[in-house]
Amino acid sequence: MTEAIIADPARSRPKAGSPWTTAYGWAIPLLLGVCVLLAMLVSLCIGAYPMSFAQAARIVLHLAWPGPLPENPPWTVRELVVVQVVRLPRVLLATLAGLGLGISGTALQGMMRNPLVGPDIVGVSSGAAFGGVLAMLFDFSPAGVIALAFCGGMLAIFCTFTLARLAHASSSSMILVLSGIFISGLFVALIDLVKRLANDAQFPTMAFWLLGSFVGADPRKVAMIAIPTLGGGAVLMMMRWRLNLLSLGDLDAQSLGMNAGFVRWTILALVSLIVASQVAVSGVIGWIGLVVPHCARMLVGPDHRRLLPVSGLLGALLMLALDDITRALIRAEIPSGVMTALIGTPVVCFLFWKAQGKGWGRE
Amino acid sequence: MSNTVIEFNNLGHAYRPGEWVFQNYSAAIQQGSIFALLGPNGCGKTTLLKVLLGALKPSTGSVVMDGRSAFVPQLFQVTFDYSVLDMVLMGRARQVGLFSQPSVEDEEAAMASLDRFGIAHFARHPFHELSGGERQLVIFARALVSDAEILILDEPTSALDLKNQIVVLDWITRLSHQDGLTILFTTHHPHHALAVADNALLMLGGSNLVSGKAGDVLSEENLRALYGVDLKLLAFEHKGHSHETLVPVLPYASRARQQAR
Amino acid sequence: MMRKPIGRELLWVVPFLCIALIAAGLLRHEPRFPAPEHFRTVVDGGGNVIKIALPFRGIALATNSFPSGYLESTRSPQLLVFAGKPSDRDMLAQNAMSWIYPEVLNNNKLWNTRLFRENTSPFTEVETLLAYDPSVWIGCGGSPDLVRRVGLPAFGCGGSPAQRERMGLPSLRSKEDCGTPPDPMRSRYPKGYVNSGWYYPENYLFPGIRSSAELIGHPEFAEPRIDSYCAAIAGLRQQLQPASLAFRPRVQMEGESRGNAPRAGVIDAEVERRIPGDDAERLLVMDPDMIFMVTGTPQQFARDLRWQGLKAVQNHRVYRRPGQLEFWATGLTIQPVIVRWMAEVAHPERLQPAVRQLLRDRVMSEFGYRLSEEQIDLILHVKENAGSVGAERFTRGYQATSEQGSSK
Repeated sequence: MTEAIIADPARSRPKAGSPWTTAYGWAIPLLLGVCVLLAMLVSLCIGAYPMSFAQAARIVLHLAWPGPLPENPPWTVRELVVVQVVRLPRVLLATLAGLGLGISGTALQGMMRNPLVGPDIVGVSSGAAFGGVLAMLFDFSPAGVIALAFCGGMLAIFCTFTLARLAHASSSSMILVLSGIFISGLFVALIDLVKRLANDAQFPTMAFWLLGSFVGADPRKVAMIAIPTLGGGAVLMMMRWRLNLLSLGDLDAQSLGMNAGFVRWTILALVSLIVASQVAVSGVIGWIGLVVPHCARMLVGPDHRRLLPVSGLLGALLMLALDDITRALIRAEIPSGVMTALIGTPVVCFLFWKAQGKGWGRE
Repeated sequence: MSNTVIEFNNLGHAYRPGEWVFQNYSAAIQQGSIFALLGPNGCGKTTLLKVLLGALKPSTGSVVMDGRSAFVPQLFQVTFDYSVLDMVLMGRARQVGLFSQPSVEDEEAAMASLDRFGIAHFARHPFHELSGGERQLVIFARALVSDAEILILDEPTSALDLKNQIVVLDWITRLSHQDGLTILFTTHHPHHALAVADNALLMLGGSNLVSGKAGDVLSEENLRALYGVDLKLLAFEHKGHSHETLVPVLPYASRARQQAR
Repeated sequence: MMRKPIGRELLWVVPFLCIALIAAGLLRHEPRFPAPEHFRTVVDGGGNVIKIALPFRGIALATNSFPSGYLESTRSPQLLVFAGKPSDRDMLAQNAMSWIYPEVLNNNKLWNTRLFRENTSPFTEVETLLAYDPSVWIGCGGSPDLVRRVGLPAFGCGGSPAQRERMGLPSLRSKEDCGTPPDPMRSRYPKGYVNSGWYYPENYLFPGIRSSAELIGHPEFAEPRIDSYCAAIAGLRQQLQPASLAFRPRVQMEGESRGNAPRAGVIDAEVERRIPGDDAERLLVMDPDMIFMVTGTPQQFARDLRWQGLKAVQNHRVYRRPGQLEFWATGLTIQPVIVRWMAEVAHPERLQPAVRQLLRDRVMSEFGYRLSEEQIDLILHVKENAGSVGAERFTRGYQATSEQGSSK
């Protein structure tokens, strides 16, 4: 009796061929998770000192497993130094930076209902970078750098939203992007100003740091990025279904019984924390936060329950691959920020041409 | 006996001081009834809805809403191309904790709700691939799954073809009668309001309004005052049921036709 | 009880946990290389104690410890097991050390020819050096912190002379002015320039040569070389008598020999007058009597319209000076030659032409190698200086005619 006129068979179309809506869509994050772990191990084998995959895996497994290392280890001190001191911190830094950027880019895009934004576009990155160089100008400790970077990131995103609100269009995506670009511009100018104030010893450090690089990774830096990224990332992961709701717009989300303002600012704070920690240890790395969400969306569709884990893992994978390329195949050490832009731009072009809007929002 | 679920008194809103969109509006809506809101373009229908939903703070007066509400916007645009099931699942926002994901039960409820509207086979389709009428039904399913008691619809039939208009209006009646939902909707079609609404409110601008039983309010005189055009109330019988509808009288076209004859 | 799709959550929880566990693995004690069972202890110029494993497995050169510098200061090519990356090899090929020790340049085993050969990241450098397994490295090949933390045998990796002094070890800087009397112009020089400690090249040369000699296990090699250096400086002083010079030309000079200006009887125009503004304007205002370049040629310089009005250009007093870094690294061999060259250009009336002979003698006494006439021409830039006043005394076979000229 309830069958609607609408359900007449002539109008029902064949089942849509979108893979992400089927059960095996969940296989992609599983596959990516395995890929990331494998990629980390493979990255540990890349370098001048010869290291077999099995040996690298054995050492990492023993390091990660709680409890003391074996008395008579099946490896030499040399191999342990190469893995633990030289390569692992860098690999972890790249993985975590990619993970954080992928997650925060997706969260920002979902929250702002805008596939054009990324941490570097709404101003978080430049704000965090400004905080970072400011901390360097006053010779703060590394913890001070991350704290000030976080404050800078939050300040920038607050400014972006306030500016959009001034235009009475806090939900208009175009206005949001525009104000993000303005605020980014302002903070970039401030960074330049700080660079001019820096002395000769600080300037090269700042310049190299701003370009983004994983050179000089050590356990302290890994801790600085791992705790905010994994902690903040886990909270974001738990809240990720709310991003679906936020992406409908405040009015709709509100009417479905969600406190949109609270959730939005919580997510913004988490994103700022993650981006700030990434910027603090490896400088501004563009593109990943913008490109990865799109690639992930093409893989598993827009549902954030799948999208957010996939973005994180894809970001980690991409960043690792880029870092391996800079480390191994390129003759000189190119800052990762440069590499991501050099490789990211053609990738985006290709995706735009290939996808022609599929998986992106319409209108 | 039905009790009042939405009540507003002396409600007024002005975007800038002194420029009232509406003023001194008062009405009460009973549980399980259908309430239609009519008015010409720009009279502030959407503003009134936003005030009722709490998205805008009223400049004067108060709103009491007793029950969970769900809002169905006029043009449903989503930036990201969610599947139909994902869309319906979002209706469970109240039931799912802030830090958790929808459970299997939530998904089953969403599927059941889709099934109810006869569109379960679209569950895994992208929302954007659906027609306007199908989308409207998806949003109904979402509202239903959210355990809403009050459904607020902004021009639910405006962008639909004739058949889908009828489907949607039929569903509005059915949700009210079978599920006891209170439904408030805005429309540009007085005959839609006459066909399904129990009560109606005509926004004549400023502090002028007419409200009451749909049959009384939607009179020829009131509608002339509202739209500035003539409408004719027609009564007829069809398959043993008596019907009433409103038909606009086109001043020039009818004269031209007369002369042609 | 709600049925939650736990499996889906595991898809992110598991990778997060794995990464967190691996990251937590870094909290373990860093591995530290155990001290070798048999070793010889050396303290470098920065006060770092290095335990060199015995039996000796050779020396590896880390980034920025130039192979040419190693060869010049140790004269021990046979101890090398790793000399550097291809770009270091290219640099050595340009250097006089490749004439003297061609076996280092030509031995492929000493050079990194692998995939990662050009990697200059300080961290991956460490693993390159680990791969070659030497008894001791020269330089850090990475961050000094890292190298010291894991206890690697790196010689000349960070530290400071003060650290060495705190250990109660004798300074390596004795004889550093070769007995040269204080420069009369010294008070007019900028403070940082004089006080930096690098005023005379010996300030870094002598500590380097002494610690290198200690590194290779022959500390007695250092002093004779230092004495021979100082003897060459003293010989020039005796012939030039700089204290009695009535006129000292003002010279615009580049490169690493500026502290030697008073020894050559010239005034470093740059430090005499410090003028703000860009380099071009400064040079025009200084208008020096002579210009000693270490890059480019005098002809190119004179062709530049900006310099046409300079006194030095009009009088053909622009020279290409023999450089320290272009054929040498440490300067131990060439610095006395450079001083003599400058003095002969500035004061030809007081000095017999002896630069070619001095160069030949120094290379012979240091390395037992006889430079050919072509090599000497190359080092002294005879071709480039052909058009400059007084440069003919550095040409081959000038000796005989010059005696006739000076007897006039």
